Amino acid sequence: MANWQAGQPLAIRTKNYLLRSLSPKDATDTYISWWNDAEIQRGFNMPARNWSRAEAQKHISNFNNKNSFHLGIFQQSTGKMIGFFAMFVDYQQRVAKSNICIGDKSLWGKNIGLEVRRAMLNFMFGPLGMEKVEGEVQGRNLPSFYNYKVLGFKLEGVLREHMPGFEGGRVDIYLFGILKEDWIKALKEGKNPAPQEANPDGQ
Amino acid sequence: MVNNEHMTKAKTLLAEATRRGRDEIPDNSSITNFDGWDSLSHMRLILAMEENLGKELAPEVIMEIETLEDIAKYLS
Repeated sequence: MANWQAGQPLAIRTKNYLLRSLSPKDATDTYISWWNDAEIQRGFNMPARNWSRAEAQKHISNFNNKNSFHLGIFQQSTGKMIGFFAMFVDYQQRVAKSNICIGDKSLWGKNIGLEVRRAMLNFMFGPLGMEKVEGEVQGRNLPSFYNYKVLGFKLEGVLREHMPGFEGGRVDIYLFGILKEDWIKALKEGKNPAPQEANPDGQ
Repeated sequence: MVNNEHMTKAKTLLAEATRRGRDEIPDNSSITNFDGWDSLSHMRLILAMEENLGKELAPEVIMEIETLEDIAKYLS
């Protein structure tokens, strides 16, 4: 592990992307538009938020880079932010939870989430010392099912009709999980190619 | 039991889901070795299977589908 310490902004490079902690100045029009886009928010079973810049900045400020992280995903080739990755860490239980949003719709279906998640799983099971990583899918988000499956997560349970659906009715929550030993085994078997340049750095 | 008809149907659905020609779908296609089988393709595939079967697939079943043969198995 390089220079990063809990509480400091985090930066991790994959082959094609830079993930770095966002600060309130990163609440650009593009970033805000992702929160206010109904199609994007459907993936979180949420309606468009109708956030102002101040509300977006407040959201970013809620993350402390210790127990909670909100990382922008930047294309290394252009420097453009294309989405974000959030991570919540329980150091006592050594379990982390994460979610991802690719805001640039032209990049949907290009497996960017896999590249980003592989790097972050290496970070969570490596420097962060996690023993398990969880994922939670609200509603029948089939692309998310795909991503968890390819990464080696298991479907551990379903919370039936656990929350209101934003379009009415109630929706299930699907709980996914992967253990550190499963992740390491998958890496050794070549099922999840280790991302290149997935090194955490301080900023 | 999976037969040739199921395999043919599976290949057709996977080709449509991945926006490829049927001839471009390898017989040993899997979620990890066929780069056309991405997250959006997977969503289209599952929805097409459900339409074909006339019922929604259980999440446990969806998590088991990772090869062309799996698709055929659940269409049989």
